[in-house]
This record gives sequence, structure tokens and C-alpha cells, in this order.
Amino acid sequence: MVKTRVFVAIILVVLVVAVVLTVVFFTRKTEGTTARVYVDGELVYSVDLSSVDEPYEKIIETPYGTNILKIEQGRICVSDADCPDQVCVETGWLENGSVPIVCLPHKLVIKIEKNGEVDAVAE
Amino acid sequence: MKKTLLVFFIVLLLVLSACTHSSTPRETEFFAMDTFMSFVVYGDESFLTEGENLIREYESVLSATQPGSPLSLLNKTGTTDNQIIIDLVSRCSEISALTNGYFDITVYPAVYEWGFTTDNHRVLTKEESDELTKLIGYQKITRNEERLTLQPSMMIDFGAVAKGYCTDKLVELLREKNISSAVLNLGGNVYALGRKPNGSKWEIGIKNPLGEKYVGTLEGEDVAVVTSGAYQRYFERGGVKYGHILDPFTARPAESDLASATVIGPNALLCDALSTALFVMGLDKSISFLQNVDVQAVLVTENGEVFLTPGLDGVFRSEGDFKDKTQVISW
Repeated sequence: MVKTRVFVAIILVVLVVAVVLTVVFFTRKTEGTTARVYVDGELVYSVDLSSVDEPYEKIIETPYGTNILKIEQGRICVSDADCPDQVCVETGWLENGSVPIVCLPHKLVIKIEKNGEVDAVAE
Repeated sequence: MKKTLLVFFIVLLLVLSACTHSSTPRETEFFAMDTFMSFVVYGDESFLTEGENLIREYESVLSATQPGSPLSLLNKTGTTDNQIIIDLVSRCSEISALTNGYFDITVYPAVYEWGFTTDNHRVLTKEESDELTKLIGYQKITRNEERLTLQPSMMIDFGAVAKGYCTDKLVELLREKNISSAVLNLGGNVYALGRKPNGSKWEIGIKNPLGEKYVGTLEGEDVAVVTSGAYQRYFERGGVKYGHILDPFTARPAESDLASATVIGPNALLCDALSTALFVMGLDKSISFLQNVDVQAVLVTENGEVFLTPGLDGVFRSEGDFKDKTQVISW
């Protein structure tokens, strides 16, 4: 009988730990303040936007051309690029995870992890 | 007591399996068809690579810019027996007839001359564009089940439908794999399959064509949401913006009073083609056209006014400044 109780206690502890870990894992994932920059699917730069004190610029050289990023507390944008269409520059500031900034000619994508705003954007 | 133990084990098993099974999204992102695509799927992970391969296969057939693709060969030689092209042309011709020619895949010679495929943009004179209108007209395509033939100098392009067509093929693949919850985003052409794992509908934003963020959001399940507008692809000469969507009747960029047109419905190909057609039609013609077609639409004018088809009343929620400028169409 005592043995069984010990077993039950162990199972309970394991269960509680599992639940806590799940909650921690999922809430951490939805915070989403890290911006990640990809070129051709490869991560080339990442920054925690919540910990940016002074605005700064970051130059990304891709095999296809150059994009200059402007980074401020909580947001990021492409301030200048030598791509022909300038869509990345005109996209403006990225503050949440719903729409990535995409520079097609340079195969560059800037994303913030999804924070549960909308699931997709028709554009 | 053994029973209690068993129950604990079962609960533990359930909790753990919930973590790894359908509540974890499988995602992929890639560049294809000259745009950025992403899939989010709850269920069979094999869809991600198979879906991407499917897109690449169709792209290799339907691309007008890859030399040697069956479509490029058609535009060069004037004839093809490729079944995918014949099938798609037949679907497009139906939609052209439905829209009285406002949607037309034979506008491609003009798209080419304006430089939208090569980025060597050029403003055509009125004489040049008038001359090009003679090459445009879906009725000029002759086809039977085995062969399709164009008239000399005619060319076609599936830029306005390829993503919608592929979306429908991807949805078929999702259903074959018994996936009941997914979001596909093919360069802004969105399809929401089923509902989210938590049972709520998918929330889809419609991009603000006049600035940042959204015009509004809508909740949907098993719907395609496709937007057309000239706000993303255009070029500027002498202070004038020339958009990439051409009017088949003038062979010039559509002078639309719409900033964007979004079409919502179960068939992505139809939504894709109609969003282009509505943009070319402009506000008034779009409103009368929509009365007789079984799709929903969000029309955003250059002045920032928003018009909704009645089916979106209570489904679409406008945001910010658009809240006071949104109205439901009544015929």
C-alpha cells in the first residue's frame, strides 16, 4: 500500500512538471520580440527588439544586393536597398509577426515570431 | 489503487501525445513563382515537402519567364498539347466570359511590352498600346481537348491565376492526407483549411493598400482570400505611377478608383482571377458584377472607403481609420 502511494506521488510530480514545462514552453514561444533575418532561407542575423536601447543600422550583404536595416526598440524596417522594386523599403516597420518583410530580388526575409495577432494576411 | 495508477498513466500519455500530435504546427517557407510562400499545417508533415514540390512542378510548366517551359514554348511557337495548360486555359476562358473580358490571360503581350516581366519598364504611346489591343482577346484562342493554338504574336500568361490554381491543387493534397487544419499563404494569396486546433476560425487580415497594417480582419474556414492591387508592383515615370495590372481593353495599366480588391470564396483560382477583374473594373462596375456572382468581396477605394458584400456583414471587422468608412453594399 505504501509502495503504491509512493508511485502515485511520483506520477503526480511527473505530471505537474510536464504541465509546467508545457506552459513555460508555449508562453515563451508567444512572446515574440526576436526579429530574424534570412537570406535564401538561411538565418543571417537575429536581434531581440525589446532590448534595443539606441536605434541603429545594420547592413546585410546578400549575393544579390544590399539591404540596410533600421532597428529600434520593438521594431525593424528596411531603410534602404539597391533592389529594383523597393517593395521591402515600402513595407515599412515590422512590429509583429503577421506579415514578414520580404525582398524578393535579394531573397531576404525579416520575421518576428508570431504573437497571435492574425493567422495570415491577404495582400 | 492499481486502477488509480492506470488512470494517471493514461492522463500522462494523453498530455504528452497532445504535445506532439495535431496541436503542434508544422511549417515551411520558400521562394517560388517569383514570390514568398508559407504553409502551416496541423497533421501529416509529409505535406510540406510534397506541397512545395507540387508548386515547383506547376511553376516549371506555367512560367512565362523560364525559357523552355511549356508555356514559354507555347508563346514562342503558338501551339501546345500540354494538358495542364489546356485545362487551365479552359478554366480561364470561362472566367473571362463571366467577367465580360475584364479578366483575360491574353493581355500578356502588353505586360511584356510595358516591361513588367523584365523590369525594363517603358511607358507605351497610345498608338503602341492601341496596336497591342488587337492581340488581346480570349476568344481568339482555338482549342480542343488535345491541342491549343494562338494567333500569330498572341501570348498568354497565368500570372493572375497560377497561385490560385496551385492553391486549389494544394487543398486537394491536404484533403488526401486527411489534414483538416492548415493555412496556405502563396505570396499573399491565402487559403484557410478547416479551423484552428482549438476550434476557432482562422483570422485573416487584409493588407491596407494605402499605408501600414490592415484594412481589417475576417474569420474564415475553408476559404480562399485573395487580394489584387497595384500598390505592390508598379513603376514610376515623371511622377506617374504605372501599376502592373493591365486593362485588357486598353493594353495600359488599369486606371482604377480601387486601391485593392479582395475576393473571398471556396475556389482559390476563381478568387484569384476575380480579384484582378474587379480591380480593373473599378468600384461601380465591381458592385454591379458582384450582385450575380457567388463570392464575397472587400473593395477598398483610393479615398480609403471600404465596401463589403452583404455576406461579410458581421464577419469582416474593419480597423483604425477604416472603421468609420466601411459600408455594406445594398443593391
